[in-house]
Amino acid sequence: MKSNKKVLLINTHLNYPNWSEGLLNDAFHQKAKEFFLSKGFEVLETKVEDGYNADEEVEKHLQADFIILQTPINWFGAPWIYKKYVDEVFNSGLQSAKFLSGDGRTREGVTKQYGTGGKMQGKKFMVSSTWNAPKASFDDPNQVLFEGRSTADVLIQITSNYRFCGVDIVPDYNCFDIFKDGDIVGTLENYPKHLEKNLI
Amino acid sequence: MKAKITLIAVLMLLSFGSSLFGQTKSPKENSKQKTVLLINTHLTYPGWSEGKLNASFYNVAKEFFISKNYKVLETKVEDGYNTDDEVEKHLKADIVILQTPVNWENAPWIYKKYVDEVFNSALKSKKFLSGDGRSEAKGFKQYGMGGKMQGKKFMISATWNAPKESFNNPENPLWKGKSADDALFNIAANYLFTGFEVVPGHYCYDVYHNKHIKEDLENYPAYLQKVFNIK
Repeated sequence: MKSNKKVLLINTHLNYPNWSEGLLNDAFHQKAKEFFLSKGFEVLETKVEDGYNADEEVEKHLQADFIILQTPINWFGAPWIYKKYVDEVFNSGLQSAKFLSGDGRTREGVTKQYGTGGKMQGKKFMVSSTWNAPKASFDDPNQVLFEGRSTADVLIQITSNYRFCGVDIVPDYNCFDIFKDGDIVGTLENYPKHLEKNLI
Repeated sequence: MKAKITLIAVLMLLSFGSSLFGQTKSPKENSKQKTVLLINTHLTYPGWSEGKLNASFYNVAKEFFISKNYKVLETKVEDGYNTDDEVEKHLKADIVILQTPVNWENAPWIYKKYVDEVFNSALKSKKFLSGDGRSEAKGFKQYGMGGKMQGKKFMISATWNAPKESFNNPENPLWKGKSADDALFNIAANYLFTGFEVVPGHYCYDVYHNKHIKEDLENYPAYLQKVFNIK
């Protein structure tokens, strides 16, 4: 089955030897890759830790119909190499006006809203992340840390950049509590179903 | 229950003992002096963002805390830092303030590098936290209650291109009703996770069109005084 669609898979795991070697994030990345290949997609890939050219990453984003970020959660965000990637790639996409024409406000200031200057309409972005945090710590107002916040609320730091450029955000997929009681095998097995439901 | 009380008593004795040791070095007249750590994480983009505005807010805060007889510890992330020194500065500080521009809806990447390095160091040495708060006996404590930094306060002072009206506004397509504090929750979360109290941020919005920068700077000391309840 051949499709003319493209997906960009970004893996931004950062290796900490003997602590976090990236096997789990790689497993999710591969699962997504197999899934999209089976659907006839062309798969573009970026492993942030291995290096990249910012302008090429802009082009990969322009070609892609879907963009998926695979990331571990380090200190409530992606590893620092990911923010470096975002600052470099999105700055390039801003300066060339390829991702957006501006922040969406017109000179008159009233007709359009901040955040509507994107040029990437029709594309979809999704985060797939691995957490030490347990599932029970989210969506529960009685939890002291997140105070009812969802994973999407915590990941707004990442998704907001794509939304700013006009990309639709689809529900994130999360593997929780990976050092203790998380159901890693089950979460990995169910990943294609999430992709099918939200992207195909 | 009795065992738990004994444990708490032992822990209190231990912390009391260590604070006595800690104080033997400092002069008696400074024993009441409080400490603030000011972190400026602006990243220079020559000809585009040179850091003058963040330096201005930073210096207003510095002058304010000096005038209130605080000891001021400083970190300019872009100039480099020693990770273990940064851990110690956090341990000494009563108040930590992050001064940051918002680049792509968050702090510049050098800040996340700083956080990953400094908080990883403090995780391994158990200086900021004992763990993620979940005890072996399930249900006793929640995720995020393993911090050791109780009594300290953290605040973000940020400069935004985003206008104030884009926040707390369900009609805005980007933030969809979220606040500026919500947008930067990932930064606050690290401090909450280690036991800090996080106070509402001080924000200078719409910096490329802003006609209120001067007022924002002028009002900043009053904000600090109020939010930290300083006499």
